[in-house]
This record gives sequence, structure tokens and C-alpha cells, in this order.
Amino acid sequence: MSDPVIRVEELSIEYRIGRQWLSAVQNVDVNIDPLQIHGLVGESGSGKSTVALAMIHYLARNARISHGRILFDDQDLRTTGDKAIEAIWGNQISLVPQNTMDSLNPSLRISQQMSEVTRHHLGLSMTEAYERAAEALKHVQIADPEQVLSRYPHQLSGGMVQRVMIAMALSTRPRLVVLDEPTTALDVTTQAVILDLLRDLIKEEQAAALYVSHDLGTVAQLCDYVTVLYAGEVMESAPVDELFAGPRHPYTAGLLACLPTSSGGSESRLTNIEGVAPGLGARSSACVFADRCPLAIEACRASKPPLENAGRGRSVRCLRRREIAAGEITPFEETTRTEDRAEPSRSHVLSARNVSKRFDETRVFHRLTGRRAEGVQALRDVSVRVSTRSTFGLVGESGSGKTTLARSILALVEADEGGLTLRDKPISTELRKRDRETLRNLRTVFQNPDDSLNPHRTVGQTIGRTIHKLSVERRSRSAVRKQVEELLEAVGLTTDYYHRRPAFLSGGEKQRVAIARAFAPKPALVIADEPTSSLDVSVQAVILNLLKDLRATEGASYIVISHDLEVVSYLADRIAVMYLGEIVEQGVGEAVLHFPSHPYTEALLSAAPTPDPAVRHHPIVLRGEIPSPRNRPSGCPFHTRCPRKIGPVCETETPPVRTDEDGHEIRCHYPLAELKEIQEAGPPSASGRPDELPGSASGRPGARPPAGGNT
Amino acid sequence: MAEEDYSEPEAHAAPAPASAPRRRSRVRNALTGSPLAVIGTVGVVFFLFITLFGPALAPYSYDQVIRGTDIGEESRRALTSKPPSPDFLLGTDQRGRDILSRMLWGARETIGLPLVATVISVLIGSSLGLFIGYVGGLTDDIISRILDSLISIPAMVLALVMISTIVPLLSASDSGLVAVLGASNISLTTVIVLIYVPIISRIARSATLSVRDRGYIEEAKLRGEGTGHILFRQIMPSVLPALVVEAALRLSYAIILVTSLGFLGLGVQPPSPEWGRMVLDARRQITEAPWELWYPVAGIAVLIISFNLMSDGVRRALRNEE
Repeated sequence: MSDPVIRVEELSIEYRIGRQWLSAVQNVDVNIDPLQIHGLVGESGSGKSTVALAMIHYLARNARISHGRILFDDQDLRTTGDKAIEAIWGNQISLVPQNTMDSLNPSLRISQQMSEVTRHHLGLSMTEAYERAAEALKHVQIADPEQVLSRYPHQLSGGMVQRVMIAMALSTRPRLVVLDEPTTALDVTTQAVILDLLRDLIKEEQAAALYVSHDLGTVAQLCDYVTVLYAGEVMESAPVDELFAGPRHPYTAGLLACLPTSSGGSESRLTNIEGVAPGLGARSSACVFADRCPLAIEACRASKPPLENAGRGRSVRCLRRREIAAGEITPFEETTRTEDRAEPSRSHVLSARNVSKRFDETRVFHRLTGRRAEGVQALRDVSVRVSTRSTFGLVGESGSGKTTLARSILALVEADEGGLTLRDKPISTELRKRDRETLRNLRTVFQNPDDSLNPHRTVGQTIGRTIHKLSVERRSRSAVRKQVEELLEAVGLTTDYYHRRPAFLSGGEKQRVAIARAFAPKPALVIADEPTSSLDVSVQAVILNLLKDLRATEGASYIVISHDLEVVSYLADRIAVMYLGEIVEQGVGEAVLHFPSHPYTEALLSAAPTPDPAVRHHPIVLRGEIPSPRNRPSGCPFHTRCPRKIGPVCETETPPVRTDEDGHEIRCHYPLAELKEIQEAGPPSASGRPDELPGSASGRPGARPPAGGNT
Repeated sequence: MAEEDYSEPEAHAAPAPASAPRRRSRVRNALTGSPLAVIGTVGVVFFLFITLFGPALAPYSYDQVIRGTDIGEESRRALTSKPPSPDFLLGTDQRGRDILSRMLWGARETIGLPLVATVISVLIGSSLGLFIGYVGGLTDDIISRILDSLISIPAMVLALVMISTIVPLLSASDSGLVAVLGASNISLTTVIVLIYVPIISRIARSATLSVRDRGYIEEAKLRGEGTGHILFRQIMPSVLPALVVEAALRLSYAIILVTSLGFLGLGVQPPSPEWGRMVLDARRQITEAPWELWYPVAGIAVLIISFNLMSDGVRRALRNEE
């Protein structure tokens, strides 16, 4: 093996907070060999981005490297002057950032921004740089580079912009590419395509890469070697197969064990890593993980364990690594516990019939002139039924209408058509007309815990007010307080939280408070819209378990919305898959996850990255982008991207809903038996056609309709 | 389920104080955060003090013409344009009135009137802004356009037009309220409120828009809260910082407006000793009795600077908090 491209040695970084310097990263070693994709994994606050930023010499102003070296070609980047850095930065080391829309200048065309890089670093002329840019775009499988080059960033979709960024990062033929969570903002199917592309390109360009991510699934699929960070220290580093096959550090084991998997089914329970990661000022001088580690012994709390070589290219920072390796002790039981719960009853707590919602952009001007602005059909004839004491899962990518459906049920948006019944009694689609009982029985947990709690009110005020407004009987002040404290305990918080304001809670704690508030008046149905998408994996496991426990103890039903099939299948008894405002498939959880599936579900399933490097998956590549709901394709809405398209019938005729004897519904022109047969035969052959430029991505009137789509 | 599954370790509870910072300390921080803010606060406290207690402290009435006999002299002659002396610390004006007493009395018109007018504007403007920001739609569109068109008229022009129409109307009426408060005070307050309500409601509206779609507002709707609770209990606390800063700034502009109108002879009418009017009166004697001009001018300048320094401190403290 040749020399590493970059060597980070004993790197320690501190941040100045107020008047003191707090250590964020301690003694981190990362070596990246040529051709290696090195994964840097950790939860938020673990210091992974700090390490990556140090590598590209781009630390924040209040950060300093207090110790260690970063060697790039035996040149220490710490001591390199600004001029010399310029020769390296962007040229030999390049970055694909997380938030790509922010990284492109909205007022310059793609061509200008792309050629700037090569003109500056490689001294190319205008024409040469333009040609180089077009070539680079072709490389990232953009079919019509000239078109893309002539556009402005806002005219491109997220996936397209991410391709442009990758093309840009690779256009100087760098030796190291730093990928900072490059796919977190993208939909699953787009993510799968981008990851596939990245893997091939990095190998092809003979570059090395650092892949920073919190997502173990994508790491398993993309990386060759993984370094796990926790509280600013390396816990374990190992070749990817070794790490996933047998984690040696309890933290790594815990992280892997707390991922929800669809195989677990809705009866299982996830492993929890108790507690939260220590903050910047609160890091122990002994083992940083000892407080949360089920295997911690006295020696772990006495001194810091060294990062030791454990053979076969891996190193582990744990005193008990030998016992773990020998299988004498297991940190986190991976065996999932099955629990008793009441059978979902046959009655329905909620049913929505033929709900449609259209958003029109009408302003005063349009009203006065009587002109109807272009609208978006967010929901089209959607019907769902949620059984009592069951969980209904809604899956779909952004723009599929899943959130609009939830908001229509809650009456936060008023459905244009359709009816709702709660416990067999019709309820209004207008919030103002709903009575107290309806409000009490339909509660919600919002996606973003940071904005679901009023920053100016304490936890006690927030929950207490809900009890005051919605509880069946009027209660005295002290009775309300007592109930709030019981609720706090039920969601795993102590009564000390009563007087705290949201600013002093972590994301997971805020979400627990929001859950306590949702359950406060003993509702019949709780709608949770992406309840864990802004949380770390270990916190996600805790919240998912909590939701499950509450379902058992409170006897409530759920509608759980997520883009993540694993999360939904972990909780849900019944799953519906949405695409462009319609339900394309609906059925019992297991049935939806197995064939026959709607071709869109099939693609979603294949795109979800499995946290197991042994299962290299080959995602079904969906052509193009999700069409704008303004230009809904005729016939089957999925026909523009469907890899199983039959022919013209898909373009012209609305597919029938096909139902099997178990109530599994699929909207497709294929009969179910036939669909099952071809899906079991294998994934559809890749169309071989690179992505066309999605005219619909900008979503503006006048934009080119997506291929084949016209309404 | 075992509750200890979810218990938090002590380590986390330690760095986060159990309670949020007290509101009092936030205010203190805003007012004393920097040396300049301290100077401003001291100045503002001083001026508010003389606004409240000035008349009680004044040695003479504001319109009393002081004659020689008042200070034990033989002559009944009015003591006009006397320079500062132990008898008259700031001297007397051309009619023989004590300038110190006039300054102390005049603080009511100069500071009190803008203060009252600003408070009224903030109450009306913030309620209106919160309401249209929260309700949105056609109501917001229509009211916002009206407010915008009011803002587009220069303040001074609006003031002149208003005063020239309101004062004669008020003077003609024989309402008891007008007699008590004075036609010019009512018209000046009305002018300030009319100019400021659109500006303040625009600030409140935009601050409202930034929180209107937050989860906690939707949650409040879902538990059946009325509009009043949502506006004043849920949204108001987030809008308040912006309003406080704006109110402090508006107050110093209101003082400038009132003194400017006084200087033009259109503000508070004589014999009320409003400082702008005092500048106007003293201007004619600028060569013979320059002290008559110094004190009101210095008073206005220090007053405005104090308010500006204080509101700057408040703004900076609030920004640091974010």
C-alpha cells in the first residue's frame, strides 16, 4: 500500500465559547490511503465536521488547532501559508458540501461558477474551462450539459445541483474529495443514485475521499474504511466489512443495534443507548462513553483507555475490547424483544374518504381580476382508514402529499373535497367548527422539535395549558401540575423539567415534551409527522420505543409519516405509499415490504441504504426527477419514471386499484400475480439512459413539462 | 415499561441551569451592558425624573414674570434677560421668567407628551400588526396597503396638514376634554399616533410572520385556543424585543418632532414652556442673552442622545441573546 494521501495525527481542536477554550476534538488520527473512501461517522456534536473542516483548512473563526498535525504530501497544512494553501485547496483537496443550494451563487449561471474553478486553479481559458465543465457534467450523467450550464442554480432540482457540485469538485482532478453529508438533503431515490455515482466516479478519478455522515446505511454502502467518533474522540476505526460484521467498541455496537430494520416488524423493540452525549464542556477525562456504556467497569471511569491496534487494520479505544472480540460479553443485545399488545380492533378510529386538496396562489390582484393562478394539486382522491389501536404508516418522498394529508386530517389545511369520520362520527374539515372532543381526540407530534415548543413558555406551562384546554373534566391547578409531572415521567423525563424552557432541552428531550403534550388529554389518534427525522440515530431509537410504549399503555392509534421506510415499518401495522398526491399502494406492513409491490415502492425499497456492507445493493435508478404536481403526468402519475412501464396504456389510462384477498391494494396496470412474477425475477434493467434535464424541477409555469408528461 | 430506560444522566443536567435566565437580568443586561448604554440609561432616568417631579422642584411657575420685589429688591420692574446668577441658576428670559423653572415644567410637554403618544402608538400598532400578520389573506393585504400609503407621506407634511385642520376644529368645540388637555396637546398626540401606528404595526407584522407558521402556533390552534390567546400569549413574547427597540427609537423621533413643531410655532402653544418653543423665543435675543438659547438646545440634544444610547444598548443586548 502506498503512502496515505492525507494523514491527520493526534489532532486536537478547541472552540472558544465565551471566555474559555473548550475541547471539541481530541487526539484524532485519520489516515486516508489513495483510492480509499474513508467514512467519518458520528452523531451531532461528535466533532466529525470539525475534523473535516480542519482538513480543508476551513475551521470557524473561534476554533484553533491546539495539538497535532495534518499532513498532506508531508506538508503540514497547519503551518502552510495562505498562498500555498490556495494551491492545494480546491485544486488537490475539494469539497462537496451538505447544503448545496447555499454553496452556489444564485445570481451566476452554472457555467460561470464551474469554469471559475478550473480557470483559477488550472489556468484554463474561457473556452477550455467551458468545455471542461460540459465534460465534467457528462461525467456525472447529465445528458444535456449545455442546458444545465446555461441555467441558474434555482432552476435546478436538489439532486441536479448535487451533481453539479460533485462535477465541480472533481473538475480539478483532486487527490482528496471531502464529502460532508452530501445526500442528507435529498430524497431516498435521489440519494441512492448520487451514492452510486460517487462510488464509481471516485474510483474512476483515482481520488481518495473522506465521507462525513451520521447515516450508517450510506456509510456501509459507500465506504471502504470507517472511523467512528464520539464526543470528539475516535472510538473505533476499521475496514467497513469488519466494523459492520463485528463492532468491537460498545458505542459502535449500540449505534448498529438501535437502527430500525424492516425485518424486525412492528412487534419488536429497539436497543437504546441510555443518556445523551456529553456537551463541549462536560467531557470526562476518563472514557467519554463510560457514562452510557452498559459494560463500563471501574477502570473505565478512572483513566482514558488508549486507542489500541486490534489487528487487521482496526483500532479500538476500549479496555474490554478483547472480551468483546472473544464474544464473552455483548454490549447491546441485538435480539429484539417481543411484547404483548392488544390486537388492533376491527373498528376504525379514523377514516378519510376521497380527500382532495389544491393549493392556489391567489393574491389580491388575482381576486380582483378574477384570474385563477396556477395551483398545485397536493392531494387527489385519497382515502385511508385507521383501525383502532393500530399504527398507520404513510411513506413518500418530498412533494408526495403525505404532510398535506396529515394536515387535512388535523384541519390545519381545509380539504377541498372529501369527508372525515372520527370513531364513526363525521367531523368537520374546518378547524373552527371542531368541537372540544374532536380536538382532544386528534393530537399531533410535529417534525421539528425546535419549533413545536414555544421558547417563551416552560415545559409545565406548555403541557399544563393543553390539559387545561382539552381534558374532559376541569381540574384544579395542583391536579393539572400533578398530571403534567406524571406525563413527564411517562415520557422518561424527571419532574425537574417542569420549570425548564425549551432552550435548555436537547432535541430528543424537546420531542419527548411534545409527545407528552400530544398524549396529555388522552387522545384517540396521534399523528406524528416525521417524528424522528431531525434526531440522531440513538435518540431516534429512544423516541420510537417511547411511541411504541405509549401505544400500549395509552391505547391510542397513530398515523406515522416518514420518508424512511425502516422507521415506518418499525412502527406501522398498515402502510400506505404516496406519490404525487395519490396513494399508489396500501396494505399490511409486511405485505407492502414484499412483492408484489407498486413499481414505485419497489424502487423506494431498493434505494434504502442497508447498514450492511455485505449487502451491496443496486438501487433501481428512477429516471428524471419527481414531476411537479403542477404538471401531473396523465394516466398513471408514475409512468414518466417507471422502470416497469408497460406501454402507452400507462400514459393514457388511470391504472385500476388491484386488491388481493388480504386487502393489499396496488394501483397498477399489471395484474398482481404478473407483477409479483416479474419482480421476483429481478430488478428492472437499467434504462441505460442518463438523466434528462428536468424541466419541471423549477416548478414554474412555462418550464418544460417532464418527459412524456402533459395534462 | 421500565422508566429508567429513558432517564438522563446527571452529566447533562449539570451544564444546563434548571431555570431559564430571569427576565429581570435580561433587562438589566440590556440597560447596563456597555458604558454607553449606562450613560444613556442614567440620562433617561434623569429626564423621566424631571418629567414627573419637575413642576414640584421648580422655584417658580412657568409663566410667572419675576419682578424685583420677588427677590427682595425695591423695584417692581420685571427682571428680563438676566444672566445666570445664584438667584436664577439658568437666568431669566426676555419676559422675565425663570428659565430653570420653565425647563422643569417644560419637560412634561417635551418628554411626557411624546412618551404618552408613543405608548398609545405601540399599543395600537402592535395589536394591529399582530392581527394582520396572523390572519393574513385579504384583510392583511388591504390594511397593509393603507398603512403603506400612510407611511409614504412625509411625517412633517402630515403633521402640518393635521395640525392646521385639527386645532381649529378642537378649539371650536366646547368639549371638557379639550379644555383640560388643551387643543394643541390633543392634536400633537393624534399626529404622532397617526404617523407611528403604521410604522410600528409593520414591524409587529413582519415579526409575526416569522413565527406564525411555527409548530407551537399550530399546536395552539389544535387545542382550540382563541385568536386573543394566540396573539398575545403565544406570539407576543417573540415580537416584544423588536417592539421594545422600535418603541425606544420612535420615542426619540417623537421628541424631535414635537420640538421641531414647537420651534416652527405649531406645537404646544404658549405660555406652555415646551423646549422647542423656548428655542424659537430665545432665537431673537441670541446676541444679547445667549444663555436663553443654550439650555433648551442642550436639553433637547442630551435628551435625544440619551434615548438613542439606551435603545442601542437594548438592541445590542437582544442581538447578543440570539
